[in-house]
Amino acid sequence: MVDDWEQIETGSPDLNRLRTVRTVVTEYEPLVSEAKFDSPVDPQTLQLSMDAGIRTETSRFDVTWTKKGYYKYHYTEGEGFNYRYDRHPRVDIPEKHFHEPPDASHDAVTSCLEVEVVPLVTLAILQLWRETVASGDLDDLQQPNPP
Amino acid sequence: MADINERAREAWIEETTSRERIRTILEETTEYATAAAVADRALTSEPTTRKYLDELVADGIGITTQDGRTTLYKRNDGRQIDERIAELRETTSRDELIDGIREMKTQLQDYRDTYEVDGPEELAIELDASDDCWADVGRWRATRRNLAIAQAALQVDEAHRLAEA
Repeated sequence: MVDDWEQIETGSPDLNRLRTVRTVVTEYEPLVSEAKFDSPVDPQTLQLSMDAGIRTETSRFDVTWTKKGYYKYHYTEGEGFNYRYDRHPRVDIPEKHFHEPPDASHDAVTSCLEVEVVPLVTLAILQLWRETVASGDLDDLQQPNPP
Repeated sequence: MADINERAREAWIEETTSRERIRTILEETTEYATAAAVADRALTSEPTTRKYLDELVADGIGITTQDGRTTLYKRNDGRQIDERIAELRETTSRDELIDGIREMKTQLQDYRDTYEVDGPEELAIELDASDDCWADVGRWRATRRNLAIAQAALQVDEAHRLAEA
């Protein structure tokens, strides 16, 4: 299926918002080993390397925020395990939706995230990840479940 | 266990001061907003928010406009371009800048070749609602702006080298 992020004019990547994400994760998340941009001169995605995973020893978040205030936090442990929290318009489901693991399915569901500003979205997604790493229960990625 | 949204709010408040939260929210305010709207997002009181917003405007981080008697605030994008140029000069070597400029030019040429239009504005006009490359409109705009910033950083570097020669 086609990536729903590609079907909408989501706006230009916003370096300022991505800097806020970087500040939040480096200050509050000890399990982030590195937070770096995809390019030093043309930064569009922030890559967070994690020192733990749900099914693996390490993992990664690829984060994009746009000037229109839309986001995607794509979590990956390689080809076999992915999920993604999104906010952007979509015709069939709410703006804030969740592409479920293990394949970050295109048939997304309503997200448990109601918060909208960069630090809160970032803190919530990291918290949900940390709890899921600890429990191994994928239902913990959406709290309460279902939202 | 408390709702994840509530827990995120509690964690943020615990780790930050009101001023820090107001600044963070101003940095993501790209459309003019009232002090009340900023206060709502920053989880701060309105008088505190107004006070710090006015300080942040005085420091050049925000700008204002008037809507009748109401002051509206948003971030100062012009200042951010200046800061970005300064940051690139500090963090990137001349060779890295030149390599980056070359890569961005290649990327922009790739967009022009792929879509057979001159820029992202034309692409947005050409695309149908059902097309699945809309995100490239934003990426194209960002790369075009980042190229201009990198070229400016290189020019400023050059001016400094000539001044010191």
